[in-house]
Amino acid sequence: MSEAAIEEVYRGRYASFLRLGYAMLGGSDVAREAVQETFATALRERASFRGEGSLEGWLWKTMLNVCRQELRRGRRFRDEEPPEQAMNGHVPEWPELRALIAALPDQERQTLYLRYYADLSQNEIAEVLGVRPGTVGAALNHARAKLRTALGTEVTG
Amino acid sequence: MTDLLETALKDLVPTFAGEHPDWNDVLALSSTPRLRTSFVWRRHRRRAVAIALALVLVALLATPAFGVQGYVLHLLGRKNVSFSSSPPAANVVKKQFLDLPLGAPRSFSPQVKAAQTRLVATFSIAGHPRKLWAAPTRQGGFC
Repeated sequence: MSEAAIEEVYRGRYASFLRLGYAMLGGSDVAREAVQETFATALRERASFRGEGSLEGWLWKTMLNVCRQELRRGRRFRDEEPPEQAMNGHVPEWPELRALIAALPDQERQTLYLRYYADLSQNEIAEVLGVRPGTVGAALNHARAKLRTALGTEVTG
Repeated sequence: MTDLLETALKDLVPTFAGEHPDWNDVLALSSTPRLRTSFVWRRHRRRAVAIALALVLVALLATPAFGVQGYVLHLLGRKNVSFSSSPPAANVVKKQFLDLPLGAPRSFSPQVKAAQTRLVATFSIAGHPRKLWAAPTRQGGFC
Protein backbone atom coordinates (compact mmCIF):
# COMPACT_ATOMS: atom_id res chain seq x y z
CA MET A 1 0.00 0.00 0.00
CA SER A 2 1.55 3.27 -1.05
CA GLU A 3 2.08 6.47 0.84
CA ALA A 4 0.33 8.30 -2.02
CA ALA A 5 -2.84 6.25 -1.53
CA ILE A 6 -2.94 7.14 2.17
CA GLU A 7 -2.30 10.78 1.41
CA GLU A 8 -5.18 10.77 -1.09
CA VAL A 9 -7.61 9.58 1.57
CA TYR A 10 -6.16 12.07 4.06
CA ARG A 11 -6.71 15.05 1.79
CA GLY A 12 -10.06 13.89 0.46
CA ARG A 13 -11.67 12.92 3.77
CA TYR A 14 -9.87 15.18 6.24
CA ALA A 15 -13.02 16.99 7.40
CA SER A 16 -14.89 13.71 7.97
CA PHE A 17 -12.06 12.30 10.07
CA LEU A 18 -12.06 15.54 12.07
CA ARG A 19 -15.78 15.26 12.64
CA LEU A 20 -15.47 11.71 13.94
CA GLY A 21 -12.60 12.76 16.22
CA TYR A 22 -14.63 15.67 17.55
CA ALA A 23 -17.64 13.44 18.22
CA MET A 24 -15.57 10.85 20.10
CA LEU A 25 -13.18 13.13 21.99
CA GLY A 26 -15.21 16.29 22.46
CA GLY A 27 -12.90 19.00 21.11
CA SER A 28 -11.37 20.45 17.95
CA ASP A 29 -7.72 20.44 19.06
CA VAL A 30 -7.78 16.89 20.28
CA ALA A 31 -9.65 15.84 17.13
CA ARG A 32 -6.90 17.35 14.95
CA GLU A 33 -4.23 15.54 16.93
CA ALA A 34 -6.15 12.28 16.66
CA VAL A 35 -6.38 12.61 12.87
CA GLN A 36 -2.67 13.39 12.52
CA GLU A 37 -1.80 10.47 14.79
CA THR A 38 -4.11 8.17 12.81
CA PHE A 39 -2.43 8.85 9.49
CA ALA A 40 1.05 8.84 10.98
CA THR A 41 0.26 5.42 12.44
CA ALA A 42 -1.05 4.29 9.06
CA LEU A 43 2.21 5.31 7.39
CA ARG A 44 4.32 3.58 10.04
CA GLU A 45 2.26 0.38 9.98
CA ARG A 46 1.13 0.20 6.35
CA ALA A 47 2.94 -3.08 5.93
CA SER A 48 0.37 -4.62 8.28
CA PHE A 49 -2.47 -3.82 5.85
CA ARG A 50 -3.03 -7.07 4.01
CA GLY A 51 -5.70 -5.81 1.62
CA GLU A 52 -8.57 -7.42 3.52
CA GLY A 53 -11.17 -4.76 2.93
CA SER A 54 -10.70 -1.25 1.64
CA LEU A 55 -7.86 1.09 2.53
CA GLU A 56 -10.32 3.70 3.77
CA GLY A 57 -12.04 1.13 6.00
CA TRP A 58 -8.67 0.26 7.52
CA LEU A 59 -7.99 3.95 8.14
CA TRP A 60 -11.35 4.42 9.87
CA LYS A 61 -10.57 1.44 12.11
CA THR A 62 -7.22 3.02 12.94
CA MET A 63 -8.95 6.31 13.78
CA LEU A 64 -11.38 4.54 16.11
CA ASN A 65 -8.48 2.78 17.84
CA VAL A 66 -6.55 6.03 18.27
CA CYS A 67 -9.61 7.72 19.80
CA ARG A 68 -10.33 4.74 22.08
CA GLN A 69 -6.72 4.80 23.32
CA GLU A 70 -7.05 8.45 24.21
CA LEU A 71 -10.32 7.80 26.04
CA ARG A 72 -8.74 4.87 27.93
CA ARG A 73 -5.97 7.16 29.15
CA GLY A 74 -8.65 8.80 31.20
CA ARG A 75 -9.20 11.92 29.19
CA ARG A 76 -12.52 13.28 30.41
CA PHE A 77 -15.07 13.98 27.77
CA ARG A 78 -15.64 17.69 27.88
CA ASP A 79 -16.51 20.50 25.56
CA GLU A 80 -13.52 22.64 24.73
CA GLU A 81 -15.48 25.34 23.00
CA PRO A 82 -18.74 27.04 23.90
CA PRO A 83 -21.68 25.55 22.07
CA GLU A 84 -22.25 28.70 20.02
CA GLN A 85 -18.89 28.29 18.32
CA ALA A 86 -18.85 24.53 18.08
CA MET A 87 -22.27 24.07 16.60
CA ASN A 88 -21.76 25.73 13.23
CA GLY A 89 -23.22 28.93 14.59
CA HIS A 90 -26.33 27.24 15.92
CA VAL A 91 -27.01 26.93 19.61
CA PRO A 92 -28.02 23.29 20.06
CA GLU A 93 -31.67 22.80 20.76
CA TRP A 94 -30.97 19.83 22.97
CA PRO A 95 -27.73 20.33 24.91
CA GLU A 96 -28.42 17.03 26.63
CA LEU A 97 -28.09 15.16 23.33
CA ARG A 98 -24.34 14.64 23.77
CA ALA A 99 -24.86 13.03 27.18
CA LEU A 100 -27.61 10.79 25.79
CA ILE A 101 -25.35 9.61 22.98
CA ALA A 102 -22.53 8.93 25.46
CA ALA A 103 -24.92 6.69 27.40
CA LEU A 104 -25.67 4.48 24.37
CA PRO A 105 -24.03 1.04 24.11
CA ASP A 106 -20.63 1.17 22.37
CA GLN A 107 -21.73 -0.41 19.10
CA GLU A 108 -24.79 1.82 18.74
CA ARG A 109 -22.78 4.95 19.55
CA GLN A 110 -19.98 4.10 17.11
CA THR A 111 -22.49 3.22 14.41
CA LEU A 112 -24.15 6.59 14.94
CA TYR A 113 -20.82 8.43 14.76
CA LEU A 114 -19.69 6.62 11.60
CA ARG A 115 -23.05 7.26 9.94
CA TYR A 116 -23.50 10.93 10.80
CA TYR A 117 -19.94 12.23 11.05
CA ALA A 118 -17.85 9.94 8.87
CA ASP A 119 -20.70 9.80 6.31
CA LEU A 120 -20.21 6.10 5.74
CA SER A 121 -22.79 3.79 4.20
CA GLN A 122 -24.22 0.83 6.05
CA ASN A 123 -21.87 -1.57 4.22
CA GLU A 124 -18.85 0.63 4.92
CA ILE A 125 -19.75 0.85 8.61
CA ALA A 126 -20.14 -2.94 8.70
CA GLU A 127 -16.62 -3.33 7.27
CA VAL A 128 -15.13 -0.90 9.80
CA LEU A 129 -16.83 -2.49 12.80
CA GLY A 130 -16.46 -6.07 11.57
CA VAL A 131 -20.18 -6.84 11.70
CA ARG A 132 -22.91 -7.64 9.20
CA PRO A 133 -24.72 -4.78 7.42
CA GLY A 134 -27.99 -5.89 9.01
CA THR A 135 -26.44 -5.45 12.44
CA VAL A 136 -25.48 -1.89 11.49
CA GLY A 137 -29.03 -1.12 10.40
CA ALA A 138 -30.48 -2.51 13.61
CA ALA A 139 -27.98 -0.61 15.77
CA LEU A 140 -28.79 2.66 14.00
CA ASN A 141 -32.51 2.15 14.40
CA HIS A 142 -32.18 1.30 18.08
CA ALA A 143 -29.97 4.31 18.72
CA ARG A 144 -32.30 6.71 16.95
CA ALA A 145 -35.35 5.29 18.72
CA LYS A 146 -33.72 5.68 22.14
CA LEU A 147 -32.69 9.26 21.42
CA ARG A 148 -36.11 10.19 20.08
CA THR A 149 -37.80 8.72 23.13
CA ALA A 150 -35.44 10.50 25.49
CA LEU A 151 -35.77 13.82 23.70
CA GLY A 152 -39.46 13.51 22.97
CA THR A 153 -38.85 14.51 19.34
CA GLU A 154 -41.14 13.74 16.45
CA VAL A 155 -40.97 13.90 12.73
CA THR A 156 -42.68 17.01 11.47
CA GLY A 157 -43.35 18.27 8.04
CA MET B 1 -40.25 16.09 5.95
CA THR B 2 -38.12 17.44 8.74
CA ASP B 3 -36.59 15.12 11.30
CA LEU B 4 -35.51 17.22 14.26
CA LEU B 5 -33.26 14.47 15.62
CA GLU B 6 -31.42 14.19 12.29
CA THR B 7 -30.84 17.94 12.29
CA ALA B 8 -29.74 17.93 15.92
CA LEU B 9 -27.28 15.09 15.32
CA LYS B 10 -25.73 16.83 12.34
CA ASP B 11 -25.47 20.11 14.26
CA LEU B 12 -23.74 18.47 17.23
CA VAL B 13 -20.35 18.49 15.47
CA PRO B 14 -18.73 21.31 13.44
CA THR B 15 -18.37 20.81 9.70
CA PHE B 16 -14.63 21.72 9.72
CA ALA B 17 -15.24 22.95 6.17
CA GLY B 18 -12.47 25.56 6.38
CA GLU B 19 -9.79 23.24 7.79
CA HIS B 20 -6.58 22.66 5.85
CA PRO B 21 -4.90 19.26 6.11
CA ASP B 22 -1.19 19.27 6.94
CA TRP B 23 0.42 16.27 5.27
CA ASN B 24 3.94 17.44 6.12
CA ASP B 25 3.03 17.23 9.79
CA VAL B 26 1.80 13.67 9.29
CA LEU B 27 5.07 12.75 7.58
CA ALA B 28 7.08 14.29 10.42
CA LEU B 29 5.01 12.47 13.04
CA SER B 30 5.36 9.16 11.27
CA SER B 31 9.14 9.37 11.11
CA THR B 32 9.72 10.17 14.79
CA PRO B 33 9.83 7.42 17.44
CA ARG B 34 6.39 6.95 18.87
CA LEU B 35 6.10 8.39 22.35
CA ARG B 36 3.11 7.03 24.14
CA THR B 37 2.14 10.31 25.65
CA SER B 38 -1.41 11.38 25.96
CA PHE B 39 -2.69 14.23 23.81
CA VAL B 40 -3.75 15.83 27.10
CA TRP B 41 -0.13 15.79 28.33
CA ARG B 42 1.17 17.28 25.11
CA ARG B 43 -1.51 19.93 24.98
CA HIS B 44 -1.23 21.01 28.58
CA ARG B 45 2.33 22.25 28.28
CA ARG B 46 1.88 24.90 30.95
CA ARG B 47 0.87 22.25 33.45
CA ALA B 48 3.79 20.04 32.38
CA VAL B 49 6.24 22.94 32.80
CA ALA B 50 4.77 23.81 36.20
CA ILE B 51 5.17 20.22 37.41
CA ALA B 52 8.76 20.09 36.11
CA LEU B 53 9.61 23.35 37.91
CA ALA B 54 8.05 22.05 41.11
CA LEU B 55 10.21 18.91 40.92
CA VAL B 56 13.33 21.01 40.35
CA LEU B 57 12.44 23.16 43.38
CA VAL B 58 11.97 20.08 45.56
CA ALA B 59 15.36 18.77 44.42
CA LEU B 60 17.02 22.12 45.21
CA LEU B 61 15.46 22.25 48.67
CA ALA B 62 16.31 18.64 49.46
CA THR B 63 19.96 19.00 48.47
CA PRO B 64 21.89 21.13 51.00
CA ALA B 65 24.84 21.57 48.62
CA PHE B 66 22.82 24.00 46.48
CA GLY B 67 22.42 26.38 49.41
CA VAL B 68 18.72 26.90 48.78
CA GLN B 69 17.76 24.93 51.85
CA GLY B 70 19.90 27.11 54.13
CA TYR B 71 18.48 30.27 52.61
CA VAL B 72 14.91 29.13 53.18
CA LEU B 73 15.67 28.08 56.76
CA HIS B 74 17.23 31.48 57.37
CA LEU B 75 14.07 33.14 56.11
CA LEU B 76 12.05 30.99 58.51
CA GLY B 77 14.30 31.98 61.41
CA ARG B 78 15.90 28.57 61.68
CA LYS B 79 19.57 27.67 61.50
CA ASN B 80 21.34 24.51 60.48
CA VAL B 81 23.87 23.36 63.04
CA SER B 82 27.05 21.63 62.11
CA PHE B 83 27.57 18.87 64.67
CA SER B 84 31.20 18.22 63.78
CA SER B 85 32.20 21.85 64.37
CA SER B 86 30.26 22.19 67.65
CA PRO B 87 32.38 22.27 70.84
CA PRO B 88 32.79 18.94 72.67
CA ALA B 89 30.89 18.47 75.92
CA ALA B 90 32.42 18.35 79.35
CA ASN B 91 33.05 14.90 80.82
CA VAL B 92 30.23 15.30 83.32
CA VAL B 93 27.78 15.72 80.40
CA LYS B 94 29.28 12.78 78.51
CA LYS B 95 28.81 10.68 81.68
CA GLN B 96 25.13 11.59 81.73
CA PHE B 97 24.75 10.34 78.14
CA LEU B 98 26.66 7.18 79.08
CA ASP B 99 24.25 6.52 81.94
CA LEU B 100 21.11 6.96 79.78
CA PRO B 101 20.43 3.22 79.29
CA LEU B 102 21.01 2.31 82.96
CA GLY B 103 17.93 0.59 84.38
CA ALA B 104 16.08 0.63 81.07
CA PRO B 105 15.12 -2.45 78.98
CA ARG B 106 17.75 -3.36 76.41
CA SER B 107 15.46 -2.45 73.54
CA PHE B 108 15.12 1.09 74.93
CA SER B 109 18.86 1.75 74.85
CA PRO B 110 19.64 4.64 72.47
CA GLN B 111 23.11 3.10 71.85
CA VAL B 112 24.57 6.56 72.14
CA LYS B 113 28.24 7.25 71.50
CA ALA B 114 28.64 9.22 74.71
CA ALA B 115 32.30 10.11 74.13
CA GLN B 116 31.27 12.21 71.09
CA THR B 117 28.72 14.41 72.87
CA ARG B 118 28.82 18.07 71.76
CA LEU B 119 27.10 21.37 72.57
CA VAL B 120 24.89 22.10 69.56
CA ALA B 121 22.80 25.08 70.71
CA THR B 122 22.16 27.55 73.48
CA PHE B 123 18.94 29.44 73.96
CA SER B 124 16.83 31.09 76.58
CA ILE B 125 13.67 29.66 78.13
CA ALA B 126 11.67 31.95 80.42
CA GLY B 127 14.74 34.15 80.80
CA HIS B 128 17.03 31.28 81.82
CA PRO B 129 19.89 30.19 79.58
CA ARG B 130 19.74 26.57 78.51
CA LYS B 131 22.14 24.35 76.58
CA LEU B 132 21.33 21.58 74.15
CA TRP B 133 23.72 18.64 73.98
CA ALA B 134 23.65 15.96 71.33
CA ALA B 135 25.51 12.73 70.77
CA PRO B 136 25.52 10.43 67.73
CA THR B 137 24.03 6.97 68.05
CA ARG B 138 25.18 3.67 66.61
CA GLN B 139 22.10 3.56 64.37
CA GLY B 140 23.26 6.71 62.61
CA GLY B 141 20.98 9.30 64.22
CA PHE B 142 21.42 11.68 67.17
CA CYS B 143 20.37 11.57 70.79
